[in-house]
Amino acid sequence: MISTLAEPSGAIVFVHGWGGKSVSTWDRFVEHARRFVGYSKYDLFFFGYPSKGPTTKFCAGRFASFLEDLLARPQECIVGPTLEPWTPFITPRTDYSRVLLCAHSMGAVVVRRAIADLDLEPVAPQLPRVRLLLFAPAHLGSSDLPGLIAEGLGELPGLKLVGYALRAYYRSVKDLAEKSPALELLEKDTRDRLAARRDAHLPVGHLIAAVLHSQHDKVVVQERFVEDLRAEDVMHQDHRSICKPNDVYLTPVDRVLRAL
Amino acid sequence: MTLRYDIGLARVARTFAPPGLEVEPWPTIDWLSASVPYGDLESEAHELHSRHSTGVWLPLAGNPILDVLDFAGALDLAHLCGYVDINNIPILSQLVLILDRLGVVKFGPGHPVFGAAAQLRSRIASETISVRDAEVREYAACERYLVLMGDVRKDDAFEEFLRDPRTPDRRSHVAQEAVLAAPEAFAEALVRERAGNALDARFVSGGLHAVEYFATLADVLRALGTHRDARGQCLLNARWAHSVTSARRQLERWVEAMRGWRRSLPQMSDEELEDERWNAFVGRALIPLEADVAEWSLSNPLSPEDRLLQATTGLSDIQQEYSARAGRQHRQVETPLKGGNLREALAELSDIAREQDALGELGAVDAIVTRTEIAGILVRMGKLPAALIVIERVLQDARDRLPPSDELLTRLSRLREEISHATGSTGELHQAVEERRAERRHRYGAEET
Repeated sequence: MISTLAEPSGAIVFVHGWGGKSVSTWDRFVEHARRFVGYSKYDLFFFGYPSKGPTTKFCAGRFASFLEDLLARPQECIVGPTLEPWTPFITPRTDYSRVLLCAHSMGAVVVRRAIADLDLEPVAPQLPRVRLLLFAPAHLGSSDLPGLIAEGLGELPGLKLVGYALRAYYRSVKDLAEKSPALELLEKDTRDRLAARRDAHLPVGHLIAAVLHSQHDKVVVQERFVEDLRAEDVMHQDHRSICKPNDVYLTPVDRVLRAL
Repeated sequence: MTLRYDIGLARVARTFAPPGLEVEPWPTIDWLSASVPYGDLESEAHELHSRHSTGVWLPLAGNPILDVLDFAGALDLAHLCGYVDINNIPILSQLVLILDRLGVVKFGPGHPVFGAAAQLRSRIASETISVRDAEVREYAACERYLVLMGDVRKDDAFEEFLRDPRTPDRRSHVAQEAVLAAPEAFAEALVRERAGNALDARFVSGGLHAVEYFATLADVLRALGTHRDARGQCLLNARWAHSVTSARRQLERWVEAMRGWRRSLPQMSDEELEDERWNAFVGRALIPLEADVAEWSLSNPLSPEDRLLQATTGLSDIQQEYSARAGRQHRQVETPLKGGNLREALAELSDIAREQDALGELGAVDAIVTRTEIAGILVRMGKLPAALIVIERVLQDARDRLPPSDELLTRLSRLREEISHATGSTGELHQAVEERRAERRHRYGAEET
C-alpha cells in the first residue's frame, strides 16, 4: 500500500497478470504516481496472488475477499493491518468514494470474475463505486496460449516452445484459452448481472470496463467484451509493456488518472 | 523524527530482518551476539571475509551477520536517496556498536561484503550526514530497490541459479544438460523443480527470475543517474549482482540451447521479435551491470574449483568451454556418473590414461595433457585427493620429459599449488593422499591412477 494523503478520496488497486508480480508488473508506476499531483488524492494498493497453479476462479476468490474488505471495512481489514505501527498517525479510512481496479492480462479475468461473484453477495450495493481499467485484458482469452505463457515467463527467446509444453501443467492457463468454459461463464455471468441490474434500475458502471490494447500484442483476443467501452489502441507497445510506464511512455499513468 | 522517515526505516528493516522475528527494534547487539557461536562477532566477520575471498558462496539471506551488513548498506543507500534520515533512527547506537564489533571499516569501503556497511559507519562517523532533500526519482528508485531486495531474499531458486556455476557437483552439470535438452524437459523442470527423478532443478525458475531481477536493478541504477555515491552503494549492497558475469554466461548457454530447439522446428513468426527482446535486455541490463561491477571491482572471486579448472586448461570460461578432449572424456564418464557409480567413472578415466600411455614416448606429451585434464575432471567431481594423486604423477613425468620453461609444466605446477590452496594445509593434503594410496594398495594390491 502507498499513501501520501491523510484523507484520500479513493483507492487504486493494481492487479497483475499470469506470471506477474504485484509491484514489478507495473514497473515504474510508483515513481510516476509520486510525481503526478493527481495521484496524491488516492491510496494505491498492489494486489499479489499466485497466478500460475490455481484456476482463475480460485484467484478471483482471493481477490474478491480483498475487494469486499476494501469496500466494506477498509480500515479494520486492509489499512490498519498494513500500516499497523503508524495507524495512530493516519486518519482512519471509513470508506473510499471511488475504487479503480487496474488489471493487466489475466488480472482482468480475476477482477471481472470477482465482481460478477460479489454482485450476488451482500456487498453488491457497494460495487457501483468500483471502476475497471484493463490493460491488454485476457477476458476473451488467448488465441496463442504458448505466447501468453512466454510473456509471463520472461525475455528468453525460445520460451514459447516451453509454453507449448507448459499448457498441460497450469490450470489457470487452461482457463485462459479462447472460448474456455471459465471465460464463457464469465461472459454469460457479466451479461446476466448487467441485465439484472438494469431490470432493477441499478447502476452498472462496475461491469463495464475501459480497455487498452497494444499494437504488438500477439497473445490476447482484442474483440469487445460484452458492453465494454470501445478499446483504446496503444501504439508501439506489446502485451507486456502496455502497463509499464517509463520516461517516454506515460500513457498508463495518464490513463489511470483520467479513469478517476 | 518525521513519519515519512519512520516508515522508510521500518521498510528497510523489514526487508532484511529475519522473517517472523519478534525482537524489535532490529538489529540489536544482544540479538546478533546470541546468533553467532560464543558471540564472537569479530571472528565471524573474519570467517566470512576469508570464505568470500576463497570464492565460497555466501548466502543471500538467513545469515544473521550478512543480514545486518546488508541492512546497514541499504540504510546508507536509503539515506543517500532521502528515504531515511540516519541522524534520527532509534537503533543508531546499537548499529554503531554492531558495526564496530564486526570491524567493518577495516575491510574498506569497496569490499564486496563489508564495504556497504563500512560506508554507513564512515558516514555516521563524519560530521556531515545531513539527509538529502528527497528527489522523487531517487526516492522512488530506493523504494523499488527495497521491493526488489525483498523478492530476491525470498527466492531460493534464484540463489540456486547463481550458485550453480560455482559448484563442482557433477550432478548439477548433468541437470543443466538434461533440462536444456528439449523444451519439454525445461517445462517439466520448471514445474516440478527436478530434472528426471532425482536432480534438483530449481535453478530453472531461478534463471527466469534472474532476467527480471537484473533488469530491475539496471533500471534502479539508471534512475540513480549521476548520484555516484548512491549508485555505488546500491551496487555494493546488491551482492547477488556481483555474479552478473557468470549469470550472463549461464543465460547465454540457455539461449543457445533454446535457439537449437527452434532450429529443429519450422520457422515461427515471432522468432525475430524474441531475439530482438533478448538482445535489448542484454544491452539494457546485463552489459551495463557488468561494466558497473567491473568498474567497482566487485566481481566474485573464482571458486577453488573454478581456479583449479582454469589452471588445468588455461581457459577463463571453464564451465562452458573446457577443451574438446576433456569434453570427450566427460562424455565417456557420463553414464557411470549418472548412475552414481564413481568407481566405474574413475576406471573409465584410468582406461583413457592407459590408452595414452600405450602410445609410448611418441604419445608422452599427449598422455601428460590427458592426465592433466583427467585431474581437472576429478576436481570437477569434488575428488581433490584423487586429483592430487594424478597430478603428482603427471608432474613427475612432465619434469622428466619437458624443459623447465614449458607452458604445460608451468600449468601443472600452478594446478598443484591450487590444489594445495583449495584443500587446506599441505600437510593435511599429503596425509589425505597417503591415506588414499594406502587404501588403494589395500583394495587392489597395486597403485593405479
